[in-house]
Amino acid sequence: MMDYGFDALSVHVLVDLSDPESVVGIKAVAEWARDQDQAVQVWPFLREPINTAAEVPKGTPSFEAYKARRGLARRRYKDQERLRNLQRLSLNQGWTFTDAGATLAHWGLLRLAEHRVSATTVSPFILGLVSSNEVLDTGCVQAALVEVMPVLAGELGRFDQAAAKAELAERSLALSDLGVLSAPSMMYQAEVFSGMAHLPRLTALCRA
Amino acid sequence: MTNEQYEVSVLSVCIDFKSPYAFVAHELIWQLEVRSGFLVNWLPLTLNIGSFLGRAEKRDDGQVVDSNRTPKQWSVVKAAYREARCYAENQGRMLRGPLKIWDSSKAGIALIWAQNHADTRAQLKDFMTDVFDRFWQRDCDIEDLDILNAALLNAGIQSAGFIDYAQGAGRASHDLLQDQLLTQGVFGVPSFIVDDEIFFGREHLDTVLWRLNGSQGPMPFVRYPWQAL
Repeated sequence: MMDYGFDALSVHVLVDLSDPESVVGIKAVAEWARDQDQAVQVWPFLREPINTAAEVPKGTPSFEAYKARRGLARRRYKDQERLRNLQRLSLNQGWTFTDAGATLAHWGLLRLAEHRVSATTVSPFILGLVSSNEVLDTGCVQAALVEVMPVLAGELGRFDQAAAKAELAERSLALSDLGVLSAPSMMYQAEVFSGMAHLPRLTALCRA
Repeated sequence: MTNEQYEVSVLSVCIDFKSPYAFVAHELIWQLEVRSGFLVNWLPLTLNIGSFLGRAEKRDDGQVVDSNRTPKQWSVVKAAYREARCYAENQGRMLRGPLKIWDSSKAGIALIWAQNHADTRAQLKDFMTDVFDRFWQRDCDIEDLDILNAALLNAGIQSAGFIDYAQGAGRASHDLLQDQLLTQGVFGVPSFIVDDEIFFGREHLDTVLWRLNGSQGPMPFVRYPWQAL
């Protein structure tokens, strides 16, 4: 059994930084954590959302046509929502991580969470990072990580992208076994909340 | 307001009576209409749930008797109901999982009829609330036109001709609407349509209002309204 490093009193936020929805979520949860005086840690979760339609057995031509049209509508909607989230963050449409930059950013996020760095500290780090460049590569990610946590400088010198990818994949797979379906999600006392927008409900639970 | 007028309505909201998400959102959307003053045009979107979550049928005791769902699909369905049940309970509503995937098209046609024939918004709201609440208590057969006819009458909406309408012009209108909405990019409920922009999920209500009010200031973040708006 993997040791997630999750303590029971904290809210754990699971994000994929390459999706602006997760970045919006980090900002929202950091403000919430401050308002509620609630311990929150931010962790990476790198798995594609489950495509349940792909698992439906083939049907009649009209059934398949409906599936295809609905799938197209869903993808178009995701694109529309991505643009809205970029607008919420004042980012350009071309904003993106390089593959190596994304791996390093998520690896760094994991180290920060393991050191119990709170969401209120992680949030300005992430928001500063994403707005620093339109294309986020290892150079700008590394500089941001060292700034937020100087002790990481030594570890960064030994950073192995393949090993980091494997670690992130293994961890994300284990989290999906716990019921995490997509990023951003939150976990509190083993309950999973899909979507950061459940914060108001989480507020009620944390107060209880 | 008629179904055909939806293109010029300020805010169109797509719902499906068999969707737990629509069930827990409809009261909030009515509140939005009252508080914001924007008239909501309700549009039925009859989802083919089997096409994206597989199909399943249960006995009264909850035992699954027929299903082609994968474990992943079941986990998504169970998570959705767990979540929706919390929101329903917070509103003082009962949400019992359906025992089969219902064909909600007749209820959708009844919604079109109700919008066209209700004398007041209160009547329309009463009809919708009654059908939603009773369906989710497993106390309303939304595939039965007589029961839907009675629900219209209970809400004070004249129903003479409804049965014929549901089997003729209403069916055609409903089916055409499904095609239009899918083409427009609506794939789930509740969805909100402002001009040509689509918002899926009640977590976007703040952004929907922001758009309706002219997009002044920064775009709001998403949230699920837990209490009243």
